Amino acid sequence: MMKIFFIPLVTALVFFTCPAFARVSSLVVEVNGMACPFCAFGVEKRMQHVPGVESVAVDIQAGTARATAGHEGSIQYQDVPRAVKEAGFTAGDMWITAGGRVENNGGNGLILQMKELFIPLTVDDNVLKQRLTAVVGTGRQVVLKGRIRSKEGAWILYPETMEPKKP
Amino acid sequence: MTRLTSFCFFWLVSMCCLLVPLQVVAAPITFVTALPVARGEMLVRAQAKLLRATDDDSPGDRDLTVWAVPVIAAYGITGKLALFGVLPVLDKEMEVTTPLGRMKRGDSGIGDLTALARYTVWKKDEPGKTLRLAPFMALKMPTGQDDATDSIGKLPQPLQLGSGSWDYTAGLVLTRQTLARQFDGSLSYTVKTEADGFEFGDEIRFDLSYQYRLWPRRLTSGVVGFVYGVLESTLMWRDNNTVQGIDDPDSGGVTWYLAPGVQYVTRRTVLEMAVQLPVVQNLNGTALKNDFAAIMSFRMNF
Repeated sequence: MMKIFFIPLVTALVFFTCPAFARVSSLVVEVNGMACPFCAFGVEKRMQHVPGVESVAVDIQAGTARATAGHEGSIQYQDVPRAVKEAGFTAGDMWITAGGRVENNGGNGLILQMKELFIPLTVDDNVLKQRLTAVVGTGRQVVLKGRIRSKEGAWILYPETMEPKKP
Repeated sequence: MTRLTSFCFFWLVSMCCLLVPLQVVAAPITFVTALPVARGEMLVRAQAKLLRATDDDSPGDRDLTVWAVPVIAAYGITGKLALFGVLPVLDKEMEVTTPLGRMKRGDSGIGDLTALARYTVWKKDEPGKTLRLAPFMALKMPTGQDDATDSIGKLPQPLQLGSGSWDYTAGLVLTRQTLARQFDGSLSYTVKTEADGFEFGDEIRFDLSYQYRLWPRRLTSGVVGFVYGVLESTLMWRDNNTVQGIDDPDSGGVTWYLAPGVQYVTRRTVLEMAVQLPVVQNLNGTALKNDFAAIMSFRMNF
């Protein structure tokens, strides 16, 4: 009987404690092999098909594509390497800007909890690690920027900066 | 008329090959490249080409003008596999001196459709540069009219808009592209088949293209338009044509063309022009030599 009340309660709590900005709001990916303006259009088009992406801006000189999510949208970053491959190129490193709550992953390190998913965090910088640990369990929303990599099928965020949620 | 027909053979084959080659996507102006077409992306390319061939020492004093507008569509099946279709609109006109006086013969309309598939088998992508290798295969179908007539009778086979034959091409293209320059090299072999008792000679073609970014000299962020200076080389060997199974001695040979040109490339369009000039025309018999071929082209990404 308790379950009938417990499950909706937990669900509601998750949604209310992960507000609209708990998401991947922007992403930069290295597009290796892209070396002319005509090729850039194919990258733009394939990136536009990634769920959550509203706009794409390619920088030929830097060899990168920047994707930005729409209002309250979240970029499905896992699909980005495939999009680059479908454009005929090779995806290099990716950097994301993601908002959410920093939580403990049951003794397995820290995670960034977002609306529907969480990303494990690997932090080398001790100062940043202390700052992240300090916000665990406080319910404070933060914005992390850093490199994200797929390791043995799991995506891991290597945060480089942490900012508090802007009012 | 048979002699006149044989006179026409070689330069018309040359014309067909010069004006409707397998030049479909991206960088080089006169042949194919290994650069990718994104999955689900469509490119359309329209070219306008003018070929003049007036250097004729034979009594016929032939004077050839050919306009060709090949419309080329490319579609990316995957990031590695792309399909292309080439449909030329042709206008062929030849002036020749005959015992009856100076005469004009020719036809205009849609030529033969060519379908081409290209697959990237190997690539090495690095920041701002790529090296890739792609074999391609093409099939030319006899969609153009090959039995047109004029006041004299049936046009010689090479003056027809279509060859009437199914022709097969296999080739390999290597592309190296950086932010500053691009190099393409392509080697291909085309097998021609017989139609209406006539068979064009098989062909081996070796193309090189070098493109150098002239502007902007220094790159800025974003996607800016590039202006490339282009120099292309086309070396072709062509076997003799055969008529009713007998070799035509006034056909076939070796030609080498150089084509300086310029390209303006943006993220959605390419505007380009080149002039293909003969450097070596070591042709058999009385085959007509080309003066030049001028090419203007426009490509668009959809």
